[in-house]
Amino acid sequence: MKKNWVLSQEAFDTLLDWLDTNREQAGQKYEDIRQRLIRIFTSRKCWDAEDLADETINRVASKVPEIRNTYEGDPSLFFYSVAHNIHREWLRRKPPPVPALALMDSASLEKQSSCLEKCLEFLTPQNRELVVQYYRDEKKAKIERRKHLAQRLNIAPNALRIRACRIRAELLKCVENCLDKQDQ
Amino acid sequence: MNTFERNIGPEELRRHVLGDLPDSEQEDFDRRLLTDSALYEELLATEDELVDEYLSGKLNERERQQFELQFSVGEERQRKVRFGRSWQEYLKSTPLVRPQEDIRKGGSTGFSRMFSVFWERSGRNPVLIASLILVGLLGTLGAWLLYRPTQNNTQRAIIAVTLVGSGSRGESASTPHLTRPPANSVVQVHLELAKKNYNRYQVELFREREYIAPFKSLKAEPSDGHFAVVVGVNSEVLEPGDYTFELSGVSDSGEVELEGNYPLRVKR
Repeated sequence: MKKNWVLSQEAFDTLLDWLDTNREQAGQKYEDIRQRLIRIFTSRKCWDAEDLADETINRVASKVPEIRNTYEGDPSLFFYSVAHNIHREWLRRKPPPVPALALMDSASLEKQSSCLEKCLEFLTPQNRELVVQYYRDEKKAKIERRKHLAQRLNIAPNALRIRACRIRAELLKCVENCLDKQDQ
Repeated sequence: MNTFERNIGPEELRRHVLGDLPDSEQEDFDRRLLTDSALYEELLATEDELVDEYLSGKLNERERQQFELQFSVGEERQRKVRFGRSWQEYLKSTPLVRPQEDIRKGGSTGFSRMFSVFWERSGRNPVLIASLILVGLLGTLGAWLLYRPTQNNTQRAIIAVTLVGSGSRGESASTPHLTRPPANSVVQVHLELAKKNYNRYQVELFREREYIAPFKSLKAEPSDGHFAVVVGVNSEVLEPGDYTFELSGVSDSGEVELEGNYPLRVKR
């Protein structure tokens, strides 16, 4: 890849077309791949994981015109190969210092809690009940509650876990939007 | 088996999130993470669980340090930690209704002991038994009113309700109803059983689809030619709406089997 290569709109569109002919699906796949790349770099202790994920995407985008007619298989694996190379390059560079994990002050917590309560109202009653029941309690009570929920919904415990996680992710997204609106 | 297809267990997922996988496993894991959506969802769920464990101080020192390093990276993970904190605050501030164990035991065991004696000595005559139940209930209520504790939170009137489960004789009957009980009272619900299949029972109370409270380690007591499991519910819990008491038997090995659902409608 040429140094200082910048992802143009045209290159981005070509990348999306390669991921999926349906633009909406392609956009989802793009975001999904980016999030997975961030996890991969994070797990490899790269403190600039988001930058490396973006670098991977840029590099893949720059290669798509060359490979799109010949590449066979899941495009995700091509991202993996490029990410792997970028990680090797990263190891040869001096890693930047590790930032500290910042928690919230009480004012931010209050704002976040207010948004959370609003967002819970946007969930369907069934999803609201599920997510609250799934995550509440401790130890034995929690295990029993989850077991019962799975029985009632007639799903496997792991399916319940994933469903609760998806609703939690939906809540998180809603809370972030709510906080953004408050800041505007 | 292809290494791509091997099972990845919860421990490996945790170690990936905490950045603690050996290089040999890391590559396989990462490759699969990009192509396997189910694995990615497992990873996201594991992240949430670790966030909750971190915020409630359940990680050991090594895991805590790893977590802080891993979750200081990436805006999304930091958002997860911030959200996790407000989520835990919310769950703590949302009260969980607890069963009135003291009232339930006090009301039912005295009654049941008395009943057992009469049951054996009555020749199992249903009319006599019904009369004795009434006398027993009145006696229990009277004794409770006389000897009730003096604290305000336990000075509660008792309203007795008998319910018949679906799947037994009451299947086609309309939903039994109760006018909203007065504040500071207790509704003593008798869940009838055709026969006693277990030594222990448990009851779970639902309002519509919302799980309200569990009642554990209950005994079935003889009642009017049948058996009944008795639970006490605070009137504050019973707002107008449709309730279901799910009664399950608990085997000696701890297995739980549903015995029946007992609907109850509380009206204004």
